[in-house]
Amino acid sequence: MSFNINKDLQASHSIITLLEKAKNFSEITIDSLPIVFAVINQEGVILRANRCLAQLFRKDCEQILRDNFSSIFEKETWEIFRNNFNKIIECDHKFVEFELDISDGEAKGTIKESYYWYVTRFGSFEQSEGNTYVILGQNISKLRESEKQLAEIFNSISLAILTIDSNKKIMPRYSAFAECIFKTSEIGGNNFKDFIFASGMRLLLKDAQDAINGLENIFGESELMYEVIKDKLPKQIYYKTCGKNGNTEELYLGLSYQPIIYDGIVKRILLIVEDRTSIVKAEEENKKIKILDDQVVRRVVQVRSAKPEMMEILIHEVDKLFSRSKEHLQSKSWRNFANTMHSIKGNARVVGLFTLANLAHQTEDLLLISIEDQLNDYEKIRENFILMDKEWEEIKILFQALKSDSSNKSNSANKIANIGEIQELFAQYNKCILEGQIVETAIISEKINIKLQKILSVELPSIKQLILERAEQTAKKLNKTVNVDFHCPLIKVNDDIKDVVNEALLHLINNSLAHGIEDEPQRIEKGKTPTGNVCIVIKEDKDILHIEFNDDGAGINIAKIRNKIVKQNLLKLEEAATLHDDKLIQFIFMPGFSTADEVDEIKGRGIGLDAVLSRIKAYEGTINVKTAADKGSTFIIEIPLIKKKEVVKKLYSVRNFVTNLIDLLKVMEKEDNISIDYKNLLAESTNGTGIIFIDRTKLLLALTNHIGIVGQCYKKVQLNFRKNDSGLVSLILSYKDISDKSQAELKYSVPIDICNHYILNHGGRVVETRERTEIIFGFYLSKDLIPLITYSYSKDLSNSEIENLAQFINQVMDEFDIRISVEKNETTAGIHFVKHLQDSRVSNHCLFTVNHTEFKRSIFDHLRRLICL
Amino acid sequence: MEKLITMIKDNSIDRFKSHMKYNDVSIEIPNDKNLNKVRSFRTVIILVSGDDLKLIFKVHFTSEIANYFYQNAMQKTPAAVEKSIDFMKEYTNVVAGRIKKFFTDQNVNVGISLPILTRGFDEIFFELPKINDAIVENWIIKAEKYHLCCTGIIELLNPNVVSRLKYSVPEQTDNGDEGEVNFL
Repeated sequence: MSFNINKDLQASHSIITLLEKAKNFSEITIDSLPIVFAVINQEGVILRANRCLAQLFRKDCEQILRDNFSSIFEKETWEIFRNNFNKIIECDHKFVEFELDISDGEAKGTIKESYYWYVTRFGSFEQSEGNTYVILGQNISKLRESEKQLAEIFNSISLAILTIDSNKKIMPRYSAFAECIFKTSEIGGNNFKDFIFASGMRLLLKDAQDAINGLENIFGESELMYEVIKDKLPKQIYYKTCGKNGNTEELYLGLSYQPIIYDGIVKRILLIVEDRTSIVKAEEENKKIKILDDQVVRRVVQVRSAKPEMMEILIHEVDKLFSRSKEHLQSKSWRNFANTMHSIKGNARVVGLFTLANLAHQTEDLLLISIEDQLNDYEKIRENFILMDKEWEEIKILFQALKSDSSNKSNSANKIANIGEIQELFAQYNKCILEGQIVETAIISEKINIKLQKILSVELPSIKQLILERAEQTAKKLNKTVNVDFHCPLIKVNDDIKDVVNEALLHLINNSLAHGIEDEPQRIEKGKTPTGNVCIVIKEDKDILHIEFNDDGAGINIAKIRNKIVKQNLLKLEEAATLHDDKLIQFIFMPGFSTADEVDEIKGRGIGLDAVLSRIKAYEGTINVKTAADKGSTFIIEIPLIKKKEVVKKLYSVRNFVTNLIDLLKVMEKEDNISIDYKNLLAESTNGTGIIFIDRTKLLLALTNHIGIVGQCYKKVQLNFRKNDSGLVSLILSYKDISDKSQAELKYSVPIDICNHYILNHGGRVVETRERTEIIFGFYLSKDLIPLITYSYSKDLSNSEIENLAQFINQVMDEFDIRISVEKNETTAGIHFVKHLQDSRVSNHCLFTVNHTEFKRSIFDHLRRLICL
Repeated sequence: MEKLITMIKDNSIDRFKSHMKYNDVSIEIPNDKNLNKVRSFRTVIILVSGDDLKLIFKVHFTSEIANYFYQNAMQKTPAAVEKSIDFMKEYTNVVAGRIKKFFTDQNVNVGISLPILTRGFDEIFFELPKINDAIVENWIIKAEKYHLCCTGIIELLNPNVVSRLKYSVPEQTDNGDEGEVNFL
């Protein structure tokens, strides 16, 4: 029996020994866990700790029993731990999980280690430690460091990386760049569809819209469902940001989608968003460049096809038209702007620059729509005009590059030579300014002006070719044939007048071919030659340019005009019915009036004749029309070559002018060994009050140049004054002993030529014969026209003020060669200048201020009126 | 009952002196009344049990303490902590052997268990006896700078047995291992 008991005990002991070993092994395993393990009581006293926790105490794990768990924390951190711990103690939570940093051992406050804590209730042992709790702590510092590194990488990627959860909302964690793209920090929590797709949804194809709706419902569905929609999801969308300050920005976002799948079910969607705005814009820019490239090709073809001589003329013309257009655009003179557009269109079409012509046509269209619909939205017009301007600049550059014709080369060479000289003059001019040589600066400035005028001056017959080309082009378009006779002697006019004539004739050609000249069958039926005839005759008479434009077309359809007048509510039916034909015809010059039934690129807008009239009127010209049914129409245009408005731009005393001239000539005599006979010149010039109406400085320079050159060619130059019956004064230069060679040199002398032009353009005239040149440049006032001006001043003026005034009055008298008498009027307050004009039967009292300029201007205006009369 | 506890204490000291090779030891009774609190990292527990009573003797120590006592007794460093732990187990065993001898000599039949090593933390699982005839006491045997925490728990299953037991403080003997029962 005893033996059996011993055996039982032996067996029990064996199993106990085994269990003891097993338990010890378990304990060692817990000790060796790489996470913090502890059992603590409610006061935080450690009852069981493993090696990992002991390391935090820098102790052996056997030594930290009954230490307090709180000692591994800083005070504030322990408060947080305790707060979480209390959730189990007080709030009956089964467990709590949280992240909390602890300081690394003794170096508290320096090295922080991040831990993820899990605290749970262990058991209640009333007889020993009371309530006990298990704490597990995972050091996640390395994880956090890795996360941080990943986040740095993640955030440095210029992509918005978003996750959409099963509630269709964007999850709170997303890449930092997302806020840069979407321009907001409020991304998380938004419904992904509303947030990302709202602004661009309507621009997507229906398939893409359906796919987005499908994506919205994909969560919790099989991944196969995702496969169905994935190819239809939009890869790029339009997105409009809404900044806090109301600023919006338009973006193009590239999208890629990645489902996050667990067990074959879509749980979330990873959405990667790329800002492709710059790429899209670059692509658009590329497209534009391609279009531009195409335009360049077209432009090259057009410019190559154009005749170089025509292009030369056109460039000059259209440049001016552009310049005018810009002014009209700036001043919002839309009707004038439309006219210039029409002219540009016509000019461009003549030489085959159809891109420019189309742009002008589009601009016209836009303008007319704006005017008719009263839209007041001219921004598109401006944009179109900018395109036109660019196109034109490109054409010019291209033309210069393509020019190869020898004659063109020669012409260009002349111009380039002139330009070269001008550049040289500018260099001298700048040098003189720097050196403070005022007189030389003025002289060089004048030389530059003269050179420039030389470059810009043209002869009127030069427009012939353009007119003929236009006629041919337009006729071809209208399936008509026309023969144009163009007669124009060598008339030199200033550029502006040449423009007016050119434009007027281009419009009239257009008009005649569109409305007047019939097509061949009609003409044959009417017994006319199959080809229409246009005759243009230009001549000059008494400073007036006469232009007669005649065609043998159908004539102006008076009945049609009458109907249009009524239709457009310009007149009532009964008024139109009784109106004389001559008056009715005038309606064709009204803005927007056209008898054409349909609008096309040649006719129907009612711009052409309106443009003609406005340009002619601007030059104080007139236009008259004669018409006969089936016989044709004649337009007679008269344009004064000297604009009255320009006649008296400047007024100076002739006497002073002559004094200045003689002073200059004396210098020339001395320096250039020129022999000038100006006996009695001064005496003659002072015989009566005379005023020159050309810029004194320029005239002086022109004349000294003239005399200087002439002086080199002749042994002697004689200068005289002449005063004709009309009061005009002239300087006569008589030469003796000239050679043929010198004659030729004179003829092509730039200063003389320019001098002549200049005088002509400012109301003067130049009459040249072999032995003398007469330059009419001024005006002698008859005795009854000489103004007598008196002024009075108050007693309040001091002596020095009176002296100053007297000095000023003398200057004015000297400048204008008039007399001003002085009266004292002590009763008048302030200073009064009273004009007593001899030609006025009644004294004309005028009140001036003490401002000298006002006083001077008043006298100036008076003299201008006298001369214009 | 008090005498029984004294008997256990005396035995623990007596055997401590002989087992650990210390002559100058003292005993201290801690003020802490929470008797079964976690006291140290390791605990060796041994049970002396019979029909009339159950007696548990526990010693609480750390590896450092065990190593120290081992080194003192054996005059050599333990090859591993297990050697020291076995040394401590042996200590409980000799104490239990002396206790058994005490009871056997007075015709109270008891047996002794194997000394079991466990963790100090396991204290929280031990419930104190709920019957009235039980006593629990902790004491500390101090030797030089180290000390050993001991716990004695006596549970009387037959309260009459106490009257049969006589205990007097034993005289110091040189034969420390007298009456020792080798465990299996």
